[in-house]
Amino acid sequence: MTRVFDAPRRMVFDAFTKPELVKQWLLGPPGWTMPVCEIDLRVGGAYRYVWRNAKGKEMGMGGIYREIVPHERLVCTELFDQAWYPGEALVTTTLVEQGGRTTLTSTMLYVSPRDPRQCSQVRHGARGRGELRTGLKSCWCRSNNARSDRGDD
Amino acid sequence: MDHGPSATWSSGCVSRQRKSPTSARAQCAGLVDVRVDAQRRIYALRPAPLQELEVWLEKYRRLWEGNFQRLDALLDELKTEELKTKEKKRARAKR
Repeated sequence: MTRVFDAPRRMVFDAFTKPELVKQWLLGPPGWTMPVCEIDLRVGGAYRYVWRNAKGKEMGMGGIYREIVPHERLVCTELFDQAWYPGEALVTTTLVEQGGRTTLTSTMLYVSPRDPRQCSQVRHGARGRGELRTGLKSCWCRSNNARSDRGDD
Repeated sequence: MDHGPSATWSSGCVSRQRKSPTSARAQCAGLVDVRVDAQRRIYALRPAPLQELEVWLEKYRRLWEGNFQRLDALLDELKTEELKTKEKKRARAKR
């Protein structure tokens, strides 16, 4: 996902990492607010977001920061409380500034099953955290294998 | 888009004994039908899941564009505030 903002990247970075700013824009569909926004901006630190709509329905999500380069790059895991997909996603956000404008690129890596049997295993399988980590790790291994299959390495 | 088995997909995937990671994933995701013809595997795109994907993508795009338009407005506010603070500092320095 790519988007250009008419602002310097330090400002865009702040808007992604300071709770009082995140709460103002990361709201999703109309009618939702973000009553909980906690950010521990350190490698290994956690973040947690909870959204609420007018009917009181809540949706929560959180993860751990894996890499932080101030104003430049953020890598974090992402997992919804009621995830509709298997495994944790790994989200990489980069900011590039040119002439006072900032290009944001966000890449989301999800666990992708390899064959139909794994598809149904993943769809119907339990979603304990240990298994999630295993799933993500095996996903990386698979993508590495796919790269070496293609001769990219 | 031509969804028939003669589409580019099939020309990229026929005559392979070993399944490529991409074609395996496409089959896994239900995006293609496969016909076995001796050593050849003829892949045909299935339009239904692609249309489902299109609908989902459009929703996803709209959701994020809503978020980013709010962020545009917030960034404008932050820039204005910063400008005001700078002007105040400059005025104070002149005094």
